[in-house]
Amino acid sequence: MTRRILILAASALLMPAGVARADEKLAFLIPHLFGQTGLVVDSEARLPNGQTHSAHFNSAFQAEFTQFNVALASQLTGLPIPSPASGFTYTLDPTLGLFNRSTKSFGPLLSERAETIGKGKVSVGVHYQRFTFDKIEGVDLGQVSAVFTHDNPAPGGRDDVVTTDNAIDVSVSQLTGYLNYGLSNWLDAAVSVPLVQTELDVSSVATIRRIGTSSNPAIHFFRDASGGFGTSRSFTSSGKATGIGDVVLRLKARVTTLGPVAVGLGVDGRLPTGDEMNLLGAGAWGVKPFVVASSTGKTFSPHATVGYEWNGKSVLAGDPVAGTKADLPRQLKFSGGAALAVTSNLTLALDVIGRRIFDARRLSPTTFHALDGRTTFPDISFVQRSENELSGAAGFKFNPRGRLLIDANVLFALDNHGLRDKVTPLVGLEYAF
Amino acid sequence: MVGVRRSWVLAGLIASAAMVVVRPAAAGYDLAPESPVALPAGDLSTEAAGIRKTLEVYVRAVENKDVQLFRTVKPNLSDEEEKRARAAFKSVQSQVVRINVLSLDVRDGHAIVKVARRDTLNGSIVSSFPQTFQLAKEPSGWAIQDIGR
Repeated sequence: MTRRILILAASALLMPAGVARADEKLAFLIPHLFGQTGLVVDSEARLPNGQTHSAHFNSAFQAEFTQFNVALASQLTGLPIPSPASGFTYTLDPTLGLFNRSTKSFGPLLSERAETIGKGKVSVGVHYQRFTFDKIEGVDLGQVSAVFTHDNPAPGGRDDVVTTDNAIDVSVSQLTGYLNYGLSNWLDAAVSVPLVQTELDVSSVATIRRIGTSSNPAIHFFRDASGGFGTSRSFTSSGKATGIGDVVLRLKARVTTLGPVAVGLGVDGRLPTGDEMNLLGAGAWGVKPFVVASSTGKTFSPHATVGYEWNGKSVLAGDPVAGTKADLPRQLKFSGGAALAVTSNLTLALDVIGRRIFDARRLSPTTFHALDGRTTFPDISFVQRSENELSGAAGFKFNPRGRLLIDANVLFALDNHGLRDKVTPLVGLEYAF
Repeated sequence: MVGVRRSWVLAGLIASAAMVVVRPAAAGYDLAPESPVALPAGDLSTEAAGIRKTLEVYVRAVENKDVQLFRTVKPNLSDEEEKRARAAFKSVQSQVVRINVLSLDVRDGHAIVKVARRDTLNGSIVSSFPQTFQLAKEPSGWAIQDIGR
């Protein structure tokens, strides 16, 4: 893990944001997987003017798989600013003139609490997270089946389809540095700067299904190595990009106390500093006001947060190939959980983290029915809808000495919605001045 | 040119050393470098030295996290207060206390001492606050009866 962090940091320092394939940004890998003009199969069929033609096949996979880019960008926008530990604050016992730690808890890891760090206090940290995405809308990314249909499908030759078995291997590593500063006893300012490395490998095996031309393989074929009428062809594309992701600025105020519960208001501003075409950032600004309530007990400290995120237009939500932008979906984000101070040096943090993404294009597994009325193949389509995504998080903050904290956490999917990683590990260090 | 520069450096070093060795007293205070408790300058009660000694022991008890020593200067420490003191000592790694006595009011074997206190917790967390000690003279010396803001 340490080695990977070092490599990530060194790559960011030594090389500018770039991809292994100099001519291809990561956002183009799926749209261009089958070539710049899409999936074209060979044909010796004669057109009415006597010329041969190359048959062009279309699919939602290639035309609409921008949802994948949006989902990935959306993961990058979900990058949380870790809640700084305020376990190092002390309150005076006035009748003895002695100081006691206000709480044994070091606070949550991936969610927020209302307590502020205190005037003039500084907390800095670095967190490393690695996502290796497994599924999108419950569909295994290693086995995405999609059917390509002929231009203007019709019974006969245009009844043929090309089925594809696609495998998408995507991972995102984030090394996030953050700084939290107490502007006053009730107001904190924070900034988080992520270094992101995105790796994307896409492969596809395309197979011609001669539904309407079974007697004549010369109409639709992939020219094989021996010059014959092949049925299948493999396509692969891969790339890697490293660079600064989207910087997030935060203001958070502890506004009131309702009995034992502190209530805070905050706002996150996300700047489009990451190269969206290389899937390092969302490509759009975002603003997320949020309200947070928390109670800090001696050992048990519950907390809950809800926020609404508005996003600007991003090419990832539009068409990266055409360069047109569309609104990145709005999100309602919520989380709740508790920090449990097991000892004065160890706090366990448990959270449920969720979000509702509004009016986004969502992949939906379907069954393709060929025009012959008999043949079916597994396929995908895209529908516009709002959806909830729910994750759980469990981790700890350990104080080995002084005001140094070692953080560790696992984030795990609680449902199959969106682009999901079964388990995402996080390790980090925090230090409060 | 080099000789002149050396002279200036030497003069600077000598001046710095002199400033360290001969520390001027802060205006209005008798700063005994070895004492964490500074008394105000001027005519003080004849009991000032005894009161200062008690506060010095209080500071030493806090800095050394010594509950028994704490009890010697605050003999009326209740069991509940002792429990809180132990918890407080456990929760800090280090505590350095500096007390500037602002006023001493000694009357009929009782004293009210108003101080400005500056504590440094764990080497870097600094807290400054006013405090009032109420002391009573006992056969063994001055004892703290009450601590308040």
